[in-house]
Amino acid sequence: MLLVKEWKKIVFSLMFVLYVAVVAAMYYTQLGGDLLTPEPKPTPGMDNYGTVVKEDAAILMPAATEELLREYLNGYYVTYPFFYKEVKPKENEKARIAEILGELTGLSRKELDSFTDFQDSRYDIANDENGNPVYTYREAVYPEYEMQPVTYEHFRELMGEVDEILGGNSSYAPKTLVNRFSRVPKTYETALAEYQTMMQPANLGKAYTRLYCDYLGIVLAVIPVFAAAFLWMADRRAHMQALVYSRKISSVKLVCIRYFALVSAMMLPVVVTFVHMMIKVEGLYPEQSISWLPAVGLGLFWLLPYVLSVTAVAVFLSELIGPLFAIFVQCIWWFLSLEASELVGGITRWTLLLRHNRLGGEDIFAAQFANFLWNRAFYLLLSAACLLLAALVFDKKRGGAFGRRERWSVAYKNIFRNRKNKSAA
Amino acid sequence: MQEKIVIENVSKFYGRKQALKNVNLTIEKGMFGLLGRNGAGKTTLMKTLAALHRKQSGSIQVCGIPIEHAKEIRAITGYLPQDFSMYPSMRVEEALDYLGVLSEMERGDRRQKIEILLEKVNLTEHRNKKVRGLSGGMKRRLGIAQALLHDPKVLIVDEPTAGLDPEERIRFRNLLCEVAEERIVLLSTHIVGDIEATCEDIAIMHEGEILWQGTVEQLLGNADGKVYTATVENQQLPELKKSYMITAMLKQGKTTHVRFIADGLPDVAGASPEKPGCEDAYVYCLYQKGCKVYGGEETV
Repeated sequence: MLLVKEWKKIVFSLMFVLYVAVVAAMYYTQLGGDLLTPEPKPTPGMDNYGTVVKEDAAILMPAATEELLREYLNGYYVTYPFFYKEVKPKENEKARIAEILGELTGLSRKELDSFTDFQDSRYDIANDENGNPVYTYREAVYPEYEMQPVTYEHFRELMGEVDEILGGNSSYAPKTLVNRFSRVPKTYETALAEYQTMMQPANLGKAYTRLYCDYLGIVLAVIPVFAAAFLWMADRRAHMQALVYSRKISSVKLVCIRYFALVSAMMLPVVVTFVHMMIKVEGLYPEQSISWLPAVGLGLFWLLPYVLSVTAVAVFLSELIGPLFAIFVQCIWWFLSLEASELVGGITRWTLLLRHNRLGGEDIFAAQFANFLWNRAFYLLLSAACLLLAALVFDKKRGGAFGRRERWSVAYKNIFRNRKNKSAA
Repeated sequence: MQEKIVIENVSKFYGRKQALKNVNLTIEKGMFGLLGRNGAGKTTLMKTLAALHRKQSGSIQVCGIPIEHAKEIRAITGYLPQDFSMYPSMRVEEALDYLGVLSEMERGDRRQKIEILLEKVNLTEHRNKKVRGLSGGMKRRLGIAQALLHDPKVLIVDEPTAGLDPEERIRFRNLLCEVAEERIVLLSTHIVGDIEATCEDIAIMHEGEILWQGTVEQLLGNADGKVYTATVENQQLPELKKSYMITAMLKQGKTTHVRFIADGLPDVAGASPEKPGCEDAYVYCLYQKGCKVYGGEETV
């Protein structure tokens, strides 16, 4: 009964309408309209089937060396310590990178620094006779060099050293080196095998679900905090905390019911847009049978922990300190998580945001499935812990603990009195 | 079950400020008034009795239940806070039903009680009105209805008449008197008229202490022979204010008719003794206990 009443309070609030609008906007702009298209079947003789990661020293070493040379000549290095950062090394660090480049290319520092004809790769823009822009790709111009004979192990050590000099999270970091520089073109056979795997009834729905979760996850990892913090503080805004506190209902029961009302309401637009997408997917593949159950299971296990954990953290922090603090913390957490996540293939055990910005890629996702399970289970546990803490704080506040307002008011009066005394003296 | 509240040596601090100082009180069935200035500690005591504040020392038993058993206390207590408010977009009946659910009442019981209470507080016609559309008086009546919803043994009402017009105030006081026939009603106020009209037993609080406890008659008895009236020249007023506690004055051209309290025979020409009112008795009590008493505000 209380659940229904709480639910009504939520779904008829302006904040919930805004929440639904954001979810719907994310869905529509990324997967709505004609944006959802059927995956084309690879046919023999196509120009490009995409690339695939394959650890091969013969590919990796020249590609990474060229990138290091390019960045050296540019004078800055790009790293991603949660966000895009251009690193300009100190003189001694620059000298060491030049030494490493010398070991790899045979170019001395003098040769490197005196090469004035360097041009980075770029697109030149010109207009055709109709005034439409025409883009022409220009390759980078480097000094001539030959790769020096170094072992793959030593090369990795050198790249690791460069990454350390740059402060970590560069293209040369051991965790990104292979993914970044060791890519080979996909063959027709590989592309076809991937396509056929994706087209299996159990996999097709999951493929679109992963894409859906990738996009929706971006908003679900942050916007529930606004709705939760705002709606959780409804009692305070209506000046009826004392009224609620004085009722018989237990704190755990009240907090849990309100929490589940929030979560279930917030999952509503997710379920609706998901079903809409799946119906569209059915329409894209009229000949193909699609199993909904694995897709629904994956989608729920992917997205529900976002709503559960973000809401639980919001509820706990709103109760303990205040809604603005909860929103501030969650926004920082979301931003760091967004910066730390990779578009595809970067699922870690701890990052809140899980990305898989690609249709298909069953093999990449399967390789990280253990991390995925661990991650979602962790956030489910975090939700439970925060919910219990929120109930505890609520119960303490209800009994008169955390009397922040009174404490602040007394402190303020004391400060004010002391100032008055001082000025009188 | 005992039908009384027993408070023994209760103290409470907000940081270093002591809000309640060794409060001792016994409150029996019926209306009990708690009188005191703003900031005297009345709301703190009320909230402590409603298990919304923690005491630091002493003991409180509400109908035999120790105050530490918060859930049991909440089940037998109805509380109307000083700044009563509800979700503005809820309708009157819906608001009562919501609070009934929070009191864990059964659906049938809720419906029956809401019907009776809406009738009792004269809000039946307004049951579908949104809370934001209610007048101040209606809101207070809704407040008392919600506090009575689960049929509590103890009703705690904190400054319920502040801001109400005289008619609504009388209506509200009568309502409280009606409900006090079956339970303990603890009324806190700084408006002496409310106490005078409704309570037999009262306590006066000042700076966290119970300054005085007894019946209204005893309070009036204490001030008997201490209240005088006189008509004085306007220029005499400053001197008069310095020597006596003035409880009322009415300017009449060049003269002023004053009502004042004097411990002995006053040295004022034409002063005649008067029967004390509750307000006079309250002010005299504060004066007698050594509290700083302000008075002499002009009434034209």
